Amino acid sequence: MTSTTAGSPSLASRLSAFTKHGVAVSYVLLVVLIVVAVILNPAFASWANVKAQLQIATFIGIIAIGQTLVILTGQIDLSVPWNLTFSSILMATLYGQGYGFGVAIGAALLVGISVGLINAIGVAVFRLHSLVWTLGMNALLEGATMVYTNGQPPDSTIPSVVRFLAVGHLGGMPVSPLVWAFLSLVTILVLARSRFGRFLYATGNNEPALFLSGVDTRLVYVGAFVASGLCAVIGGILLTGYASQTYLGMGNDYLLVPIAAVIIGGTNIMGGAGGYVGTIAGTLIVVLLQSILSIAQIGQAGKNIVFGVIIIALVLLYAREARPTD
Amino acid sequence: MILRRYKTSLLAIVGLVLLLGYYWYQQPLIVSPFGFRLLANQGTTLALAALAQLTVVLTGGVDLSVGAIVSLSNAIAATYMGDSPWSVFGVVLLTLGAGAGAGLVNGLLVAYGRIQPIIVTLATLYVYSGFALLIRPQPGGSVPGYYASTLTGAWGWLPYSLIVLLVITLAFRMPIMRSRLGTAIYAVGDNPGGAHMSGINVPRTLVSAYVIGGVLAACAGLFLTAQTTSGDATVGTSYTLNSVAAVVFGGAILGGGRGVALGPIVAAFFISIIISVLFAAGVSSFYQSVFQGAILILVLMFGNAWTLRARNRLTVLRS
Repeated sequence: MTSTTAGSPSLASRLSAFTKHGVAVSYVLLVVLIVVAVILNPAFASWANVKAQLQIATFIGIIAIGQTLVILTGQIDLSVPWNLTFSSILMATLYGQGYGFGVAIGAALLVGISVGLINAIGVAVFRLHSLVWTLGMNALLEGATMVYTNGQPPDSTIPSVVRFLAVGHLGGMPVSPLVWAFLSLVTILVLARSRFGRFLYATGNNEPALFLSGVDTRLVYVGAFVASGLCAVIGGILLTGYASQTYLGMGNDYLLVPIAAVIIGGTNIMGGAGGYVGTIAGTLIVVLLQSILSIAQIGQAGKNIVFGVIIIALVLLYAREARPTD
Repeated sequence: MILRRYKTSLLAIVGLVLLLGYYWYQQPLIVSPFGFRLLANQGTTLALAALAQLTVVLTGGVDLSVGAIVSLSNAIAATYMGDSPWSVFGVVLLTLGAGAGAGLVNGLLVAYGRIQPIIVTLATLYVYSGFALLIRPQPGGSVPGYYASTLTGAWGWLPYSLIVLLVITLAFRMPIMRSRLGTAIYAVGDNPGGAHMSGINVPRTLVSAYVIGGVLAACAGLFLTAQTTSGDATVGTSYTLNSVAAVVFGGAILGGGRGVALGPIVAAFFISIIISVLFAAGVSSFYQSVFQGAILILVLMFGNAWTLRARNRLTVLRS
């Protein structure tokens, strides 16, 4: 479905592509959810609540940027939870030891880049399925975190810049949703206008064809996975500022939920179709669902079940495979 | 002939022999009835989980929900099992039924829902672990002492756990894999289109494989419960990753169609025992995850090293 991004097709074909990939569906669902939530509880529409929801959406949305790029190539990144945890703890510990915030944040970003590179090597060079490979990376990073912290919850000082980015205000607007909006804009432009964006879709659609067109598809994977590693780190840094602390397992809630946001937003889990516009709606839907489930006093167990079922239902709708026997 | 059939298991066997030799050198006490029991108990849960994983991998899929099914079985067994033998018998059946049901859902979604196995089982991993948490919100619960000792005890030098493993492998899994269904599972994993052309009912074969996998994962959960004698809804998490590592290390191909039970069983013992060997050698327990991740990553790279030698990258892309 690269036709929606390359050239300028007619309005009708754009519209049909829009509904086919669930972007429209996800925005309709979002509006319905908001209406239901406001009818159930009018305080839901208060500016304070909208700000609080946007704040939480920022972490999920930023992590979902990386996940969108990776899923567009037909892969998935399961190393997010401990990549996020390890880099955040590293940043807070380095800052606590007296390094400047530039060094601390730089080290965290470097972790994200390295993790992305290793993920890309496994997928692009050794041709392993990213699900298994990044799961192994996740275990490796969990171990690295345990060794680095000796299994103790790290005591951490948070740089004031990080606090400002996460919970600060700029003329009445919270800063972190602005950060998310900026990164979203960059992502949408890259996907729609740049060569790299088109190569992402092409890799997901037909990698051998892209390779035969003279593109080194390995570099496309490097771009996608490094972006995902960086997004996980940025999400983790903002989360650290929001919670004013780092803790072991802080990333565990940020694996399935961003993936759910991407799938709800209509990106094909097999790659090649979709985009970040849908993921934004998916992120907001996921955040709304989470808060509705919390209001309904449904615990972690219920949330796990609900999100698992939603993912299966949406994949059944959008991304069924051809019959193996056809 | 027999040797050629088990050639893919050779790497795991050599690895385990070397590992045990080193362990014996470090801790001479392991060559004792007690040491044997310890070693056998350590590897049996993962060996059963690896058999579950292997059955699904043979069809060309991967079952990421193995760990969640292990947790779910552990939660069910430790929560509902009473003291009477009838209660034990009933709860064991219930647990195996839950495992079969979990496998059935996976299989139906893969075969008739036509979703990638990896996505189905990633989602059901969360669903099943959610159910495990509902049944057992806090770690706890118990099983009767005789249930634990029957599964984890020993008769002189012969640990009961090995007998359990042998019975499940030889009396449950082998007859199935040697039947028409077993042949169909290998055929579907090797070439689904070809299997269909040969008159094999591909969806039904897939569902059967996932159900068998679910039952075997439940067996792993039941044995784990005998070992820990309590319930914990997150106890099975590591078995997903380690069962995949054991299957690949044991010579099966992650793409389906190739693999025998011996390799993954031996590899499961290798992966379980290497952790205690490292402890014995004085390595901090925090390195456990590092080694588990590193073993999986190295094994996967080793298994796909041929991609580095391929002359034409197009053959690699199409594989």
